[in-house]
Amino acid sequence: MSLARKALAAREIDASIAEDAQALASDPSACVVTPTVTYPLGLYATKIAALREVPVRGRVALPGEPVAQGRALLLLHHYGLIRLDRDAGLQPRVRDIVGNPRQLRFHTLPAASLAAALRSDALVAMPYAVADAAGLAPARDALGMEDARVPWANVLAVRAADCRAEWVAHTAAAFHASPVKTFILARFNDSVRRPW
Amino acid sequence: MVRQLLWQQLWLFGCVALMQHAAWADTQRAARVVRVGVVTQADTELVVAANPVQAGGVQLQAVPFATCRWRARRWPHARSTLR
Repeated sequence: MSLARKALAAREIDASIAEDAQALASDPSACVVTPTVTYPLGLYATKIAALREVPVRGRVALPGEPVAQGRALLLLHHYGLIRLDRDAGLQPRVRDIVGNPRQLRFHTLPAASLAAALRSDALVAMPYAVADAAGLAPARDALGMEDARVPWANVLAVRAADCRAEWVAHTAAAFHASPVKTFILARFNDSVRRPW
Repeated sequence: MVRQLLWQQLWLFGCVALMQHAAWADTQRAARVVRVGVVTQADTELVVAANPVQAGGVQLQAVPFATCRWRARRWPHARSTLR
């Protein structure tokens, strides 16, 4: 059970904005109300300036955590660096790669080691939190990053019993208000993205 | 005459009481606090940004998961690892 669902079930919180819809999808006790922000996973490098410069047989570091790894592979697929099996779904693995024109060599690392891999690897896929901790901003430093409307946008979630409550509608409206829209752009400079 | 005056007083008292109740109810509605679970600093900043909007009298309060009792009980060091 996810962090948000446990805290919601324990009535420690009334709502959560800390997780994405995919993490909450399998639980009928939680209700996904609306997306809030997307923390984009990005592709970073220190040796090259654009994704078209990724060298043949270059090493690519992927997050070891399964969800982040799937997101990284889908992003590489999106930029045409690899081709994934059509049936791989939203959580592909390295074994689902069916086309690798640059013969990239993949290896997985724990989140804490990803930033250090920038020194040795041609390309490193980093979730937002890892990049942020390393002082990297996706909009400024990433060679490629996820779109705001990926399925992993964080969502406002509440207990299923509260789904139609008036306060939930008001809370959703507060997160989608014009000042919040301005705040997201001004504070995060597109490194945290708005999916609504 | 005295009876009419008493009725007027009673009527006035009733009106004042009703108005006070309406004002109190408004205050209660405005004080609807919604505890929003957050993990990252960015989550917290988002809640703080959304809070002044107070749509429909809802007040948002950021609650880091690390402070939740169930989490503190199971992972006593969660605060330092999550923040």
